[in-house]
Amino acid sequence: MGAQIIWWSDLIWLTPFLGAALAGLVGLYKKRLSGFVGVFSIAVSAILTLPLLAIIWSNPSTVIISRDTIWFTIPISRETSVVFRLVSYVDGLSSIMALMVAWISLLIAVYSLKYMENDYGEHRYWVFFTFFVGSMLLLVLAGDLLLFIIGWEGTSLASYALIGHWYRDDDELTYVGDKGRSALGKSMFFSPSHSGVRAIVMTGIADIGLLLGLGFIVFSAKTSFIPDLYASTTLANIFKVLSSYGILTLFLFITSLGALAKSAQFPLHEWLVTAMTGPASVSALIHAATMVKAGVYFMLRFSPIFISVASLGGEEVLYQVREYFVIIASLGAFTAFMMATMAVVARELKLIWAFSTASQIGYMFVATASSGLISEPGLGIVAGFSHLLSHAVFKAALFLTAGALIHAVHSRYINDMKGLASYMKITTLSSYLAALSLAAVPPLAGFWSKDLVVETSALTGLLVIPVLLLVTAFLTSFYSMRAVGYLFMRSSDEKHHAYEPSSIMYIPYLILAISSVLIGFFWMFSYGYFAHVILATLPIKGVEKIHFEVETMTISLIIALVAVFFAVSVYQFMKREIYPRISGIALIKTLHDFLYDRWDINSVLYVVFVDGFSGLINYVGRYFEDLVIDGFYHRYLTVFADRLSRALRTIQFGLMNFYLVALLIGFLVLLLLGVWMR
Amino acid sequence: MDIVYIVYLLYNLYIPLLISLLIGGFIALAVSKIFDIGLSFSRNMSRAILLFLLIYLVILIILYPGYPVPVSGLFPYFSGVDEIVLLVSLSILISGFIVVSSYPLDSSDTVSVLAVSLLGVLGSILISMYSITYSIDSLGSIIPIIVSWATLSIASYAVIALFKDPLSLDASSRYAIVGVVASQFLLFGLGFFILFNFITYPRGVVYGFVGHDLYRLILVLSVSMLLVALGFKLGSAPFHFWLPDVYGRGSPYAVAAVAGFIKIGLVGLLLRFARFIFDLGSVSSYAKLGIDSGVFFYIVALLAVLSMLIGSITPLTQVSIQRILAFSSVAHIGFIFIGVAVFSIAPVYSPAYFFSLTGVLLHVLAYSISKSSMFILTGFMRSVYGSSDLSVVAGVSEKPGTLKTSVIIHLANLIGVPPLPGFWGKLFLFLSATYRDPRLYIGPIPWLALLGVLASVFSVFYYLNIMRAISIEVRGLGGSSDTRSQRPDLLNPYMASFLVIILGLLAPVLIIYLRLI
Repeated sequence: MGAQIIWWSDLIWLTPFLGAALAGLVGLYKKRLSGFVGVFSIAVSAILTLPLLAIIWSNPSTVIISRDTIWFTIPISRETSVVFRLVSYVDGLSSIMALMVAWISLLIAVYSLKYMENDYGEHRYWVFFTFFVGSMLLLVLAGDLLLFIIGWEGTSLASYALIGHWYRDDDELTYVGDKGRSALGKSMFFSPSHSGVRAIVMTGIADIGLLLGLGFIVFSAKTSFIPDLYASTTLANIFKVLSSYGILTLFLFITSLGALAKSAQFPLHEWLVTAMTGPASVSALIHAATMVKAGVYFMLRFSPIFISVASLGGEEVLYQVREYFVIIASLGAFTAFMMATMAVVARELKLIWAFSTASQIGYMFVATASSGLISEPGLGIVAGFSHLLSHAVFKAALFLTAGALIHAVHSRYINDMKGLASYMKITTLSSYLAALSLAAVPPLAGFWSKDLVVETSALTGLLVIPVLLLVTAFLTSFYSMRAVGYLFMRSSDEKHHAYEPSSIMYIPYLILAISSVLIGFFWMFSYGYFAHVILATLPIKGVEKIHFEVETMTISLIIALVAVFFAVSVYQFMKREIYPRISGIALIKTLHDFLYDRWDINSVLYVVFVDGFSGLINYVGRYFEDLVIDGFYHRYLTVFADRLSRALRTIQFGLMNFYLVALLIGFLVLLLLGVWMR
Repeated sequence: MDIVYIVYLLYNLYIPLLISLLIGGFIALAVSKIFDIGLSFSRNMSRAILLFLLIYLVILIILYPGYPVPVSGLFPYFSGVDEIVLLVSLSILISGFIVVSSYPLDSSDTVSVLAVSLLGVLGSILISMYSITYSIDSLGSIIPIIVSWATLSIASYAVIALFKDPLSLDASSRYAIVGVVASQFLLFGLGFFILFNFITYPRGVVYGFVGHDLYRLILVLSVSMLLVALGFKLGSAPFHFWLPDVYGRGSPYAVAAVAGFIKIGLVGLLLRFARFIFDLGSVSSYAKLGIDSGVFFYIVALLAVLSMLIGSITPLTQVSIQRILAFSSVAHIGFIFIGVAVFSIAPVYSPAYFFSLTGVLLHVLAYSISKSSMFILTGFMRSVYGSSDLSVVAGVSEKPGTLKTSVIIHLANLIGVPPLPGFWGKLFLFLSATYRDPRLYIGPIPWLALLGVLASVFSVFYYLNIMRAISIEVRGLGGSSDTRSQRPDLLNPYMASFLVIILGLLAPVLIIYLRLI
């Protein structure tokens, strides 16, 4: 493996961090400038990704690292120590991902220049936005697990800050949910500040698993450099030990918990839904294109490691690793299905896309997990990664257009967006293209990637999964065209004041929508080489060529087109809303409410965990804190000290004779001690 | 004229300068009293003398060559001017200067007080320079020790008595009577020591006509008596019973002198005594007699523990600030005794040796400055508010800001709050007790340090009580902020608080500079 050393590859993630700091300082002087500083630093990053990708594209078996020196070591015994490096690792996977992250971030940043203009938190927004981009790029390009974790946590922090951006909770437009609605007694109306806390708590708790797993790996394999783990015999031995206790599956699952939470898979998907309280640009960047993909990236990075190590580990290891992949794939498939059902009934535009995101990420998890269950693991990795890329592009476009649409009608509900198509042509066109990609209509990118995922999952032999994915595909196509279809409905009130946003806003999402088409065409012709670039430096077998089974393609195509046709005809041509007509039927209403309240999972979580823990806290507070701790420190101890002090004071007689007597007694005691002790 | 010779010269001039300036000052003050020359002149002259000596001492510290500079034969039996002398003299001179500058000028007896204070400074610094040495053909350092002891004792009795209010006279007479008895113990102790040396000369040879146990008994008698004397004078339990009455009733300015600088020199003597015991124990022929420094250690540790605990627990419910400070003196001597105990079992230049020495010296520095300042501030409170009871003080409205600041900083120093020197002192004292050194006769003594920490924690409470009383104003509790004709000024303790902060920040530099680490 030829490793080139290019020192400025670190700049890709470093520049946005510096940009964030600079934006912080500059914005103190003039708020508007912080935006330009932020955009500029991201632009530098984005430009720097191009030559790196070019190098790797032309020679896929190279990797690029930023330096060859070590950062610091932690000794763990007299002979061994763990070495940490401050190094970026650029291979096919990370260079393409970095390119995607940087350029989509740049487009969204440009959009934000206009979208966040005159916002009361504009300055703060840019600091965290740029900081986020830096963290995400660090995560992607990290060659050292310590850096990876730093980037990971940085994205959590920025996400919290940006979800709760409108922390004053004073604008109902920024909330998620219907006012006054509750399920199982728990309110389903979420404010930005509340949502921010939910996000960081849910991802934070799961990150414990990530830290435990990665920490264990680092200190037992005695290396923190990711490529060292490829087909590592040390790691294989560790896995052997773990599997002999039967806990290897559990261990791998715990390590992946952080990824599952970050990518909003069941049961830690709730935070993504309420994260829509953030600005649309934030939703586009963090919750569609980049941060939620971090979990998938983790899987893409580590599945080859687990697969390659498992093959060195023996029977038991292989079995438990397979078990782990089956669990992940099942979780992914279930999440995909569950979120799609929720999207079908959702009425807030951003919520539909949020559910869709979690659902599509479920596809990606299925793909990467399948890689561990099939004979050509590379196929799964390529499928997962392609879907990641195509989804990022069109979902970002959808969120950005959603931002424009919401702003135009000042409402987050699609019911209020009827008839906007004639007033906002470019926005409608971009949404339409992106939605078609989501609905997997060829020749758009979404079709190819989704189809590859389904094919890969079918190869595993677990037929439930591809069936579930196909049902979900049907639902996906339906809800995406439903959402867009509202734009074409006739509405009672004329929307004169709806107009196309400024070009700074529509150009980014137009570019993204068109890219969806272009990527589709690209894949039609160069999928094989694309796969080769990704897989060349990963420790698993490459793929001969990417071929699409005609049967699967046909099924997907039919499903997609039927759903699209159904939705388009109802929503676009008939211009009708279905639900008000059928809500009279009790069964339908119950089903609708169940889906609308997100399968009541949120309420269950709150009842079990939130209420449970606060009850525990009250109990401990009352019986332990007040009685034991408080009692000791503030009652028992004070009385004791007081009594002791008063007792000691009584021996101070004030009589002089006593002084002399005490002197003599003291002298005798010393004498005795001196003589007696040897 | 190279630098080594200059240093030698300067160091050798120190003692003659001390004696001549201080005795000369005494004589000058006596003359000015006879001829009624003027109070402020007397005070300024005393201050000038002390300031000059202080600056001279600081120059000596800066020029310190890293080893004890031998002093010429004119003043025999000195150990040389080593770091003990330097730091103890520093403490004495600084607190002496503060106290002397703060004496109220409202009576003619102030001149006498000044004169006596100068004598106290002299006796105190001199006694820190001696170790107990005795040889068969001369009395060694015995006589100088007795002379210095007498000087500082008389100075301490006199300074309290000269503030002629009834409480002070009562306190002074108690002090004197018990002090005389303690001086007897000193003399007897030294006497037994001479006997011991005499019958074991040449050192270590044991004459066959006396049994081993008798040797031990004589040595133990000597050591116990000396410890009683030193313990009494310093105020260690169980010899401390006079201290709360004397410190608590005497005029605070006088007590500032006694607690602040007059008794401090004895710490130097005690340290050298501990070292002497260690040397004694390391002589193998004495080991045949079963003499080792472990016994000494346990005795001193017992005294330390008693002092710390009694000194920390008793004042928790006291109401008079002056009495609280008195008990806290007992506690602080307890802390110092921890260092002395470890010093007696630490091999030369081992870490425990340095830690204990540094701890004691820094603690003494912090203690002398802050204790004398606190007593001066108590004197202020007594003269302006009428009494130094906590409730009275708390009831006064609009206390001066300088008072509050000084109290808080000095008490923080006594508590041991970093970066003040009191913290450094306690840190090293406790470190010395916990340091693992296989060469120590006894292993690490964590229980000693633990008790020390515990006592420190208790003491925080009563210091905080004082701080709270000073800082708050509660209506309707009595005490008035009336202005008598001469309101004593707070300048010196206030300046001292800044000095304390600077010393605390400089403490690490000082430690390294004086090769104390």
